[in-house]
Amino acid sequence: MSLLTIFEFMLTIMQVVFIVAVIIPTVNAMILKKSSIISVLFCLAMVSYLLSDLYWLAYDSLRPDTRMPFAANEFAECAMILLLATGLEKALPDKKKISWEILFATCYIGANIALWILWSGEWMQDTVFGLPYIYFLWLLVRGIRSRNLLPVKERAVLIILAAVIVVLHFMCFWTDGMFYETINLSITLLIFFVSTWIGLRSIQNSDIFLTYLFFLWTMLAMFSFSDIFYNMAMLANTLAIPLMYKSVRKERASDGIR
Amino acid sequence: MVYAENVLICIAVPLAISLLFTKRSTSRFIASFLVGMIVCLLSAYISGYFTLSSGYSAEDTSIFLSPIVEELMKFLPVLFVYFVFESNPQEIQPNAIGIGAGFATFENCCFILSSGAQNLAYVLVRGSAVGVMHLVTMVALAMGLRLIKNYHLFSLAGLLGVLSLSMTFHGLYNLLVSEPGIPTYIGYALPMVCAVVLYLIYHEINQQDEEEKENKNFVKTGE
Repeated sequence: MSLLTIFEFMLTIMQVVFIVAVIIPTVNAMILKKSSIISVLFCLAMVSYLLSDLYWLAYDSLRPDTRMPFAANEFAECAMILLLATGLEKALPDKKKISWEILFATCYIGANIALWILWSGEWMQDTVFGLPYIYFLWLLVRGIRSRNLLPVKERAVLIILAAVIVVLHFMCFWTDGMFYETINLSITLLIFFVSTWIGLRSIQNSDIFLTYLFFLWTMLAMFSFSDIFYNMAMLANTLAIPLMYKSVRKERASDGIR
Repeated sequence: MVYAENVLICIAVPLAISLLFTKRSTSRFIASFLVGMIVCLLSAYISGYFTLSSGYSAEDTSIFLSPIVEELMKFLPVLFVYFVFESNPQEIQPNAIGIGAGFATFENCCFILSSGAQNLAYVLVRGSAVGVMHLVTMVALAMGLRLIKNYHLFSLAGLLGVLSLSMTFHGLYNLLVSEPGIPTYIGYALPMVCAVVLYLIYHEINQQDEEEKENKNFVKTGE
């Protein structure tokens, strides 16, 4: 087992601890019938994520440094996204469907799916398991707009940065040498800059749409990297879990959804 | 070689006849048990087909593909019962348990016929691990359906979520027991531990329901 795998293993254990720490109080609230629809869905989503992590831990320890022939844990991740999306659907104040938002979500995640396929070659798996992310992102964009969580300029800058990152990723396939290294470094810096930005916004205004966006962004960042940057993105992803829990609690307290 | 179809007929015929002489709730359980056994056979066919068509080894198929096929196949009859008979969530539970028990029983029968039943300890472990695992996934599935129904969330996302939970749990079990040593022991213990946890949650939820009913009755009587 390589040193990096051991480090990844420890990070996953830490994530498991974080997930269990948010599942227990949510289950308690469910048993006492003090939970909202959103927190029930959040709990189910976190159980899915927990199982996915446990599967990874088992796989990494039993077959270290080998690629899964078929990633069964992707079912759990896919379900987690769908369950979180169902929760967002319930929390969405404005049901207006604006076509550019659908277009943006489809194009952005579509481009990401294309990248995943180019990286892994698993076109079927990546396409099927990528589709829920389109729905999830669409709900997030709608929620952030309708709740006015970010100023218009900030939203525009974030969208441009996200698009630039995808374009740079594609450019990596046709470049090499020094130019390739520069693009790669730019991608890394941009991804972590956006992560920090959304992360800070999530801490400032622990709204369900912002914290879920932070979580999604860190997941996409994890898919973009390997090695040490993957672990850094995973750390950010772990930090997003308590933030999401806090926002779910806030949502329960602030509205009458039961 | 095991003639699984013949084994199925042998076990299924007395159960099918018993349906004629049993009352509704019992016959529902027996019918679910029968469906579980048939589903087990169909799952074996489908997994066999995938082994041939995907080029995976038998071990990889059992670790990565079988959990998906088996859980999906067990889930379909439960959905059928739910949508066609419009059962309430509490009524789904015996059906789901029957399907899980039937599936596990038939799988164990075939396994024992193919590899022998001389070693009692191994047979006991097999029964309390795989057998319980199929039950646990079905109980969890039924509880999940009950939960999403209670919150009026019977959506595609909810259904897929609950299904994927059982798939991943099954996949985790198969992965653990595929490696000899400590992982196997953890794998064998996993279904029992989950059964206890599920029982506690189930018991707690039922107790809360009972208390709520009592409170409602008390208010009505008071009025």
